[in-house]
This record gives sequence, structure tokens and C-alpha cells, in this order.
Amino acid sequence: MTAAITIKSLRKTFGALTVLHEVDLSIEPGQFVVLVGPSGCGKSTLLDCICGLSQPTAGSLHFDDQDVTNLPPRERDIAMVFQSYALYPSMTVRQNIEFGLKVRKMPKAERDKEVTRVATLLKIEHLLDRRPSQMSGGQRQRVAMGRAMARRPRIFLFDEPLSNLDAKLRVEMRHEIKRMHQLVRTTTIYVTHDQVEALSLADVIVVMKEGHIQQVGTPQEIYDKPANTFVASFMGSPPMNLIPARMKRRDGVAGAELLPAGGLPNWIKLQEPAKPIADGEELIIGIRPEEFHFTSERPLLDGDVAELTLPINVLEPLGSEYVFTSTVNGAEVSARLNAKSGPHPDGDTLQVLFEPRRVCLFDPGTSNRL
Amino acid sequence: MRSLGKLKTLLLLGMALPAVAMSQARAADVEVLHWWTSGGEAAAIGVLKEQLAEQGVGWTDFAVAGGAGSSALTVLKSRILAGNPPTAAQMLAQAVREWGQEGLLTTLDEVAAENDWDGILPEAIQNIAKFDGSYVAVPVNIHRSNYIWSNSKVLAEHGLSIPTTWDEVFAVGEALRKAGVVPIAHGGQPWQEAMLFENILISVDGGPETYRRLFVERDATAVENPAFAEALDIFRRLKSLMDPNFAGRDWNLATGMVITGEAAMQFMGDNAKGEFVAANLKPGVDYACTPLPNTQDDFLFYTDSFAMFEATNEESKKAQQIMAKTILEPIFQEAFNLRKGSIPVNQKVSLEKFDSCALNSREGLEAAAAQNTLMPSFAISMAVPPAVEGAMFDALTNYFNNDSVTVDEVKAGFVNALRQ
Amino acid sequence: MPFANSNKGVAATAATSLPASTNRYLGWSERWLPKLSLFPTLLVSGTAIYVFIVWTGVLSFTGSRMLPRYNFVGFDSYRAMFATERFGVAATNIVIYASLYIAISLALGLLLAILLDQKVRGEGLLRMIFLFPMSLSLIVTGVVWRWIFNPGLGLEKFAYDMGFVDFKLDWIINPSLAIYTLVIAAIWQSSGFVMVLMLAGLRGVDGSIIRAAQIDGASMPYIYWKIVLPLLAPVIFSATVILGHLAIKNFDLVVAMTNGGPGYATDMPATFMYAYSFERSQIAVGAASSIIMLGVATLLLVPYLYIQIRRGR
Repeated sequence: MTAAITIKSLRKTFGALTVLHEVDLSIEPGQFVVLVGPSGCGKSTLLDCICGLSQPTAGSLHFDDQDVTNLPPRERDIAMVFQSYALYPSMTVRQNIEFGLKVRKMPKAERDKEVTRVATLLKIEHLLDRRPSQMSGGQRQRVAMGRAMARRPRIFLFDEPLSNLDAKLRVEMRHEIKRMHQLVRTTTIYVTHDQVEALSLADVIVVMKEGHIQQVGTPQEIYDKPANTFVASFMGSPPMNLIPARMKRRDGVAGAELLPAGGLPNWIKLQEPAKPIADGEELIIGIRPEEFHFTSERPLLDGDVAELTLPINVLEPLGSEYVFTSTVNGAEVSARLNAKSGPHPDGDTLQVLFEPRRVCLFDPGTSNRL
Repeated sequence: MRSLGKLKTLLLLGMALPAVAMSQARAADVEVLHWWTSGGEAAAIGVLKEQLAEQGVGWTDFAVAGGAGSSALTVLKSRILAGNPPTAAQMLAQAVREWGQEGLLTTLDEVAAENDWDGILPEAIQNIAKFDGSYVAVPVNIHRSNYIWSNSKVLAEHGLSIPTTWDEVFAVGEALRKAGVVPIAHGGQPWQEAMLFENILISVDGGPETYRRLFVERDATAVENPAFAEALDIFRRLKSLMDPNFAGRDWNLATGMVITGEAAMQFMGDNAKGEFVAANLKPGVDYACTPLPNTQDDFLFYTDSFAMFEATNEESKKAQQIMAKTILEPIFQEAFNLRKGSIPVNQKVSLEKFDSCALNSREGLEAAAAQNTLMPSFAISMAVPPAVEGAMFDALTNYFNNDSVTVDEVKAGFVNALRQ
Repeated sequence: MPFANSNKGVAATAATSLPASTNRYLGWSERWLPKLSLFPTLLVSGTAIYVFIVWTGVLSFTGSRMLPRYNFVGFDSYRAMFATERFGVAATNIVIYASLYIAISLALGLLLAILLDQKVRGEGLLRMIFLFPMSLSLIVTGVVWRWIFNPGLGLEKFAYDMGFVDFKLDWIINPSLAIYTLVIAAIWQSSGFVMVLMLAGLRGVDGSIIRAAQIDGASMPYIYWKIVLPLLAPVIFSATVILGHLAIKNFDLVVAMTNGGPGYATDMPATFMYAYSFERSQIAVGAASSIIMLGVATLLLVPYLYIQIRRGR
């Protein structure tokens, strides 16, 4: 009932424009995979190639061992949920759900059973005789999911299914999708540009940019160990702080001088990088905003702790936390500090702590992580 | 109101009388509705304009082209309904009758008596110029309907001569067809088909009498005369001598086919002559006009005439009378008819300058008048009211174009038509 | 509208300073100005349409011949009209013509629109080419198609000259087929227009609906039939109404193409009306046929109005 997906050297061009460059990806059966990236990154094109609405220019696509590269969509045994829900406006909810079954010539009795099953699962029994125009966005979204589930496909595809909903509904439907996946455990590919959705839903996140896969990994891996500065800045809100610096050890302690030189502060302590970096080499330091702490939290931090004094630009108390922005040698740095741990700071500067081992280092030339 | 108005006019006239006597009664302008807009016709109307100008009558042209007068009729109706009729309007006989019935035409008896219209017009034509015994219209010309126009060169080329019997028509036609010439050029419009039929009818035995009873006396029982069925038979059989593309063709295009030699003959009234004249062809040399078989001494005529509307003032009346008189004067009669292809309606006018076709027409006219077969053409709205005519056209054109229609259906159509 | 707006502005600012009477005047003008400005249009269309409909209705019950007369004779004209075979022909013709014209124009227009909707290159140009016939006068269309169908001038002669001596296309001179030549010419004239309407309708259809149905396993014809066509229902309905009234008032095409011939085989109610009212001096019969045409058109339009009104609510 659920299939593995193997994509090999997949390329898609429209005329002179290459939308997907040599994409390789394997997805295990039952995995929830989220394709995420800014608009124009090729994630929707990749989805179209997987569902068969678009033919790849080169490369192959396998579901389990079956080569589906050139199969039309209806022979791929997949289902898709669209951003606009794409419900058939002239049909009732029941007719929408059973459309695919009818096309596949399933007998009426079985169809009815399937509709009932799906409707119960999604709690839309009371909507079965309504038309799409008579329902709210959230209800339509449920029906669209119901339509996809009724066929019991081997793969589910979601194309930005939540972007037309308001924030509250979005959260609700996100949970619903997660619940459904845990229930049916069907391989799912989910396209979104919203990194929060990606982090919250995915077993595996695939970050894409300009037709290239940037990183494949679990949400935690993607968050903690971004493969490059793009992933680092795209995932997480506010994004990871990226500060240009130059390696400079002080008294045998690994550290970096912030660039351009001078100003306050000008040196921070780092963990000795895994890959040897000579003093004087340039690098980019990445620190997540929530890695900063008030000095009062020192006892909570284990291992090596570094200190940093930052000039205050803006300090916004948000109840549970302070969001704090600072300009460090021309680079904007933001920090999210636990409100319980610190008094309301005053003065021009703020002293914060961080753990050097939580800091990422990037190569400024390739922007890849060191 | 009316008598008051008249009284006022009289009073005014009384005051103005001395002045009038001195100024020789200056006549008003005439506004004339007509549909003579093509080259020859416009030139002909120009002659009338000049003649009137010499007599101090100005001319306001009110030409409405198209639809063989039906557009002009529509315009005329709207002018009448608006209470603003022109001075005179070109009309065919049945229209004269209808406007007469509406009581809108003025009598021309005075000018007719002065100029002896009874003496110069054939009786059959007097009849259509009169309503209730009074002259209400001035006839201008006489056209003859029962003519065959043939291309002499084409016939000679194939060693054929103009047919004088129906058998010959079919024999000659067959020979021409085999030689790749269209024997008869026909225009598939209801009136042209009606014209073909009316001429066939007077050509068969007992035909003229049947024609008179049917179209002049409007006696529906005449359809039972054998002549009626015989004429219908020839009518439909002639189709085999026509090219298949006649549907909707205008008469002058059919004439053009004869002129170019694409076709050998056309059955058409002598309005066709204008086309030959315009093509610089000579009668008796390049083309011939021959009456249909057996109709040398019969004559179906149609005439154009001008009817005068009741004028509101003496000046206009005066102008109308001058116009009526001028139309029948030899100068205009000759000039106009030479251009139009018809013959003068004034029988006193010499045909010295006219061609052989015109002489032939005059001969036929006299012979027909003598044996009482000078009759109005029903195809050109001379004989029966438009409603009857229309229904008859329907019956004939349906019969001609649809081979499944029977003679009995045409008879029934005619009987119905005469009830209109 | 600018008037109404400025008045409102004046009324608002002047409320305190101007005497009450002026104020009342402004209120009055504000209320009546829109109605007043619509009045001339209303008057003209009222008289030019409704008064004349009534007049025509009255005339149809008189014995009017060449000019209107008000001697009432009841249903005589209607009886006379239904007795003429020609009216039967005209009525049959309009049924054949209207049903084929509407059905085929819709089908062809839809087909063209679907084909053009497949992201064809040069779509703008094609759309213009297909729409072009609509910009022609029906007279021109009629003349052109008369030539095309004329066996001695048009396609038949062309085929003959090409060596296909057995090719026959003589519909226009065949009384039982001539009506179909009118249908063809009329379809040529308006299917492009229908296409543009349908194309606009198709463009309004969310593409993901079609993609969803494709993934659901439906074939393209099935998708168009079951999903897209129901969505085009309003467009199809409007197109039908437009084509329907074009069909009923068809006059110029007949006049230019066959002039009712051969015989009166291609007569239509409109040409019938014209012939009787203006050529045969039977205004009453002509009026009667107009009233019948109005009646039929009304019957066809009632569902449309009903739906419009229901939707309005």
C-alpha cells in the first residue's frame, strides 16, 4: 500500500530554462517528506514530475521497483491535494470523494463504504451533500484530503495545501495532516515554502534552491546542522545569525575576530573546528538566536561557555522571551532570550552567553558548512 | 377646419389675384420620387428635368434606388404617414390603384382632356392610368414582356435559327446544350419566373383568353383551362435548357450571359434592350428581339407612370399639370424611350429614330390592340394587387424550383391567391 | 454621478450654514437626479420598443393592407398567415436553422476553445482569425458564401477545374438543402465568437481541478464532459441566448445569400414579415407574423429571465 520513491539524475528544462538540475533523492516507504524552498526553487516542478503531470527532460523515477518515469498520472496510483483544493465545483462532497473510485469502476456498494470510512476519519459526514461553494476553507481542505485518501493510493502528494488558510486553521489542519499520516502511514511528499510546516510535519526535509537540493535530513539535522548558509538562513524564524569573521586563536584558545576588524565586540570564542583552519582564514559564524542566554542562566549551561557583550539596538519584551537585536560590526544579530532568566536589562550594552559547540562555521567561498 | 382653411386660401387668392395675373402664375417646384438611378435611366430623367426647367418648374430629385421600387415604396409610405407626400412618385399600375384607394391621388382629368390623352394612349393603358374613371397617373412608356433575346452570332455559329414554336425551342436548345452553350439564360427570382410563365401562357392554345380571365378579370376558374396546365408543363420543362446556377440571379446578369455568348437566349421583357444598347450591340445584327412562339400579335405590357399626390396649393397643382403634360409630349417621349429601351406611350409619336425592336413592339402593340390581346403583365405588378401577385409568385416559383410540386397545387395556390 | 457626489458634498458642508429650504432642495435632487438622468433613455426605449410592440399587436388584428387602418377583424390575419404554405416553410426553416445553428456553433466554439486552451503557440493570432468572421456584416458573409456554394463559381467549379468532375455541391440551388447552406454560413460567422466566450469560460476554470481529475484517473474527454462542461454552464447559457436571438432575427444573411430562394425554400419569419408588410401590402399579416416571432422569442427567453431573477435574489 505504500511505496518507496527513487529519483535518479532527474532534470527538467523549459526551453533554455533549467528548473531542476540532476536531482537525486530516495524516499523510504511510509516516510513523510517535505520539499521546502523559496518560490521558484523547483519544488513544485519536482512534485509535478513525481505525479506525472510533467515529464522530466532526463533521469528516472521509480516507485518501489516500477519505473514510472513515462507513466501517465492515472497509472501511477497516487493522490494529490492542491493548494486551491481543486474540488469539482459542480459535484457534491460525496461525488467529489467517489469520483476517482467511479473512474476506476468500483461498484456502488464499495464506493459508499469507502466514502463513509473517509468521511468518518475526517469528520465530514455532515458535509457529504454540500457543494464546495457552500463550505469554508478548512472544510474544503478536509474534503480534498478525503478525496485523496478514498483511493488508498501508494503515495500522497500535497502541494502547499495550507497556504490559503488563516493562521489558526493552518495550525489545526497541520495537526490533522500529521494525524492522518500517522494513521495511514503512506509515503507522503509535501511541498511548502513555510519552514515551520516543514519542521513540524516532516520525517525528512528536502531543502531546495534554484533547482538544486541543498540538504536532505531530519528536521533536527536541518535545524542544527544546516549544510550551508542558505539552509541556515531559510530554516528557522528568526533565521540563524551569520557573522563574517576571521580565525584567530588567543592563547591557544580557538576563536575568531569579527569582521570588519575593530568595533565591539571583536573576538569570540569558538570550539576548535573539526577541519583544521589556520589563523587568518575567513569564515562565517552561524549562531541561532535562541542559543544566546542571559548571564543568569550560566548554571544551566554545561561545558564550555563563551561570553559576548553586544550593543543594544532594539529590545522587545514578548512575555515569555525578549527579542533583542544588535549590530555587530555592521552585521545584524538577533537573539531570543528567556524572559524568566533575566531582569529587564538597561544600559547600552548587554552581556550574553552561548555555548561554542552550538556554533556553526561556514566557508565564505562556498557557503558550505565547515 | 378644412372648409375654414379653404376659405382662407380663397381670401388670400382673392387678394393676390391681380398680382398673379401680372406674373403669369409662377409654378412651384416639383419633388419627384423615383427609382431611375442607373446610367440610361438617370439620363432619361434628366431630359424631363430640362423640359420642366424651360417651363419654369424646378426639380427636386428624390431618388430611392433598389428593390425594383420596393424601397422607394417604403420611403413613400413613411412620407405619406408623416403627412408630407412628394409632388409626384413613380409607380407601377397596382400601386396607382392602391394609392387611389387611399384617396391620396389628385385627378389629372383637366390636363388629360386638354391634351387628348384618350386619343393618344392605347385603351388598355388608359385603364391603368385611371382610378374610378379619372386620370390619376401619367404613363411614361410601354414595355413588352413577351420577348426572346438571342445572340445572333452564337445561333449562326451552330447553324441554328431563332425558334418559332415550342418544339423548335426545345430542339434548338438541345443542340446548343450539346455544343456547350447555355440555351436559355434565366434569373431565378420569383418575378422573372412569373414573367417567363405569363409569356408561355399567352403562347399556348387558348392562352390569351385564359390570361385575360385569370389576371385581368381575376376569375379563378380559369386555372382549369387546359392552357394553364400546358403552360406550366412547358414552364418546368424549360428548366432543362437553363444552367444550374440561376438561383437568385439578377435579370441583367442573365442578359449579360447572352451578350457575351455564354448563353444563346433570354426570355425577358424589353428592359433587356438597354443592356444590349449599353454593350454597343446592334439589333438585327448582333442580337435579335423576337416575340415568344406564337405571340407576334399578342402583347403583355408594363409601363412606368407618375402618380400625383393631392397638392395643397395652386402653385404645386400648376407644376403637377405642367409635369403631366410634358411627360406625354413627343420631345420627352422620344428622348426618354430611346434611352430606356421601351416605346413611347403616346401613339402619335413617330418612331423614326427608333430601332427595329421598337418598331416590332409598335406593330405588335397595334395588332394586339386590334384583337384585344394587349394585356397588362402580372409579373411587373400591372394586373393584380400585391397580395394576390405575391401569392401567385409563391405558387409559381415553388412549382418551378421544386419538381415534386404538382400542377394541382399551383392551381390551388392561384385560387387561394385570388381570394386575397 | 459626479453631480450626485458633489451635491452630497455640498449638502454635508452646507447643512449648518444654509437655510432649510436649500437643504431640502439638495436632498430632493440627490434622490431624483439619478432617476431623472435615466429618464430620456427610458423614454426612448419605452417608445421605440414597447409602444411599437403594442402598435404592431394592434395592427395584427386589423385589416390593414398598404397603410395602417383600424378596422378590426379579429384573428383574420393570423388565420390568413397560417393558411399560407409559405409561413409553414418559414416556420420549419427557422426551427431547422436555429436548432442546428445554435447546437453546432456551441459545439464547434467549445471544441475550438478547448483546442486553443492547450497552450497553443500563436494563440492570439488564431483567436483573432477565428473571431474575424464576427466582425463582418452578415451581408458580406452572405455574398461570400453564395459565391462559394454557387455551382458555377465556387467550390464545385473549383473541384471540377481540379479534375474532380464528379464532385457536386449544389445545395444552394436545391430547395430541400438550401437552408443548410444558410446554417453553414451562419455557423462560420459566429462559432469564433462562441469560441471566445468559451475560452474566457475555460480560462476561469482552475487548472488544478483538471490536474486533480487527471490524477484521479479520468481521461481528458471525460474530464471535459463531466467537470469542465458543467462549469461552463453559465457561458453556454449566455451563448445560447445570444445565438438564439441572432437566429430569430436573421434577415440580412437570407437576403444576401439566397433571397429566400430557390422559390421560397429558404424563407424565414423575418423575411416573411418584410415581404408581407412592405412588398405585398399586407401590413396586418406582417404584423401578425411579428407578434408570433415575439411570442416564440419570449418563450425562449423566459427561462433565461427566470434564472437571472432567481440569481439576483
